[in-house]
Amino acid sequence: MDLFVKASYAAAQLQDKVISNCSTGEEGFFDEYRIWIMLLSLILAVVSLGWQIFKYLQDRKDHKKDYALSINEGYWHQSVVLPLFIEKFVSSVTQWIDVINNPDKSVDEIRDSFKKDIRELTSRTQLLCTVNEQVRENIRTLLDDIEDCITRYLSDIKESADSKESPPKDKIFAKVEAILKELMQDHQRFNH
Amino acid sequence: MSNEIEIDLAKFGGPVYTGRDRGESIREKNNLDKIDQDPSTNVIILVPDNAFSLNSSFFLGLLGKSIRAAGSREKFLAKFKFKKPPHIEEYIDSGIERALLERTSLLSKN
Repeated sequence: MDLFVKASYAAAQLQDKVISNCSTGEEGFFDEYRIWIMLLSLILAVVSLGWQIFKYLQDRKDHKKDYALSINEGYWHQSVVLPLFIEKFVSSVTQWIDVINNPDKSVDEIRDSFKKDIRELTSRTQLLCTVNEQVRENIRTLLDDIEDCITRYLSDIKESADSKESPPKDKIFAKVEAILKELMQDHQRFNH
Repeated sequence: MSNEIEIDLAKFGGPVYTGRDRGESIREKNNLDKIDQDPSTNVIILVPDNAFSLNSSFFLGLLGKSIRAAGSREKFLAKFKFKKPPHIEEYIDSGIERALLERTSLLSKN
């Protein structure tokens, strides 16, 4: 009986305490930190959104930069480097034709300087690194053709020195002119 | 014991050595494709004293494949020796440089 009375009393006390807690507005654990949790969630959401926006802008910027670079490289090589190279090629060959026409050096000296010039031009094709390999190979082949043509002519000059008869220039110059024309046509084809 | 074979360019005309086709034809006649695969065989190339030039086109036709097979200037020159007049040195240097340049281009294509 005693036990029953004691239990009833304890239950009544607990009930009173709960009622009194509710009536005084005392908060539980969740209620106590609710504001902080909400604040933390909000901060995380803002940071995450900020990160996403940053990544998006960064990607867009990189893409724009790459695109601009690829346009600039193509433009640079097509409009500046290749024409400059071809100009050098043509002026070099023209200059050699002048030297051959009015030789003030021995044939051997002309041959050696010419060889050096052709070698330099061939090495320069490496600078045309973004130009199609076929275009570079065509240029090297044309340089070979010019080298063959002019060295054969120089050799003929040397051999004919004793006979005092000059070998015909017209044929060789016509051939060089044809090679230069081919080069210019290739260049125009490449540009369009 | 290494074997040595001689290729005398005087037998193939001169004094101007030009044209890839001409070089390739001499290469074929001397079985250089086979010799490239044989490490025990060295080659001596005799360039006549009256040679006026040994142009890149001819040099690449004759030895371009061998240079690319050797992979480097040093390995190529260890297998192929040249007896030549001094002014031909420049042509050989230029030819080796060019063959290796073409090799790089071929590699970058793949």
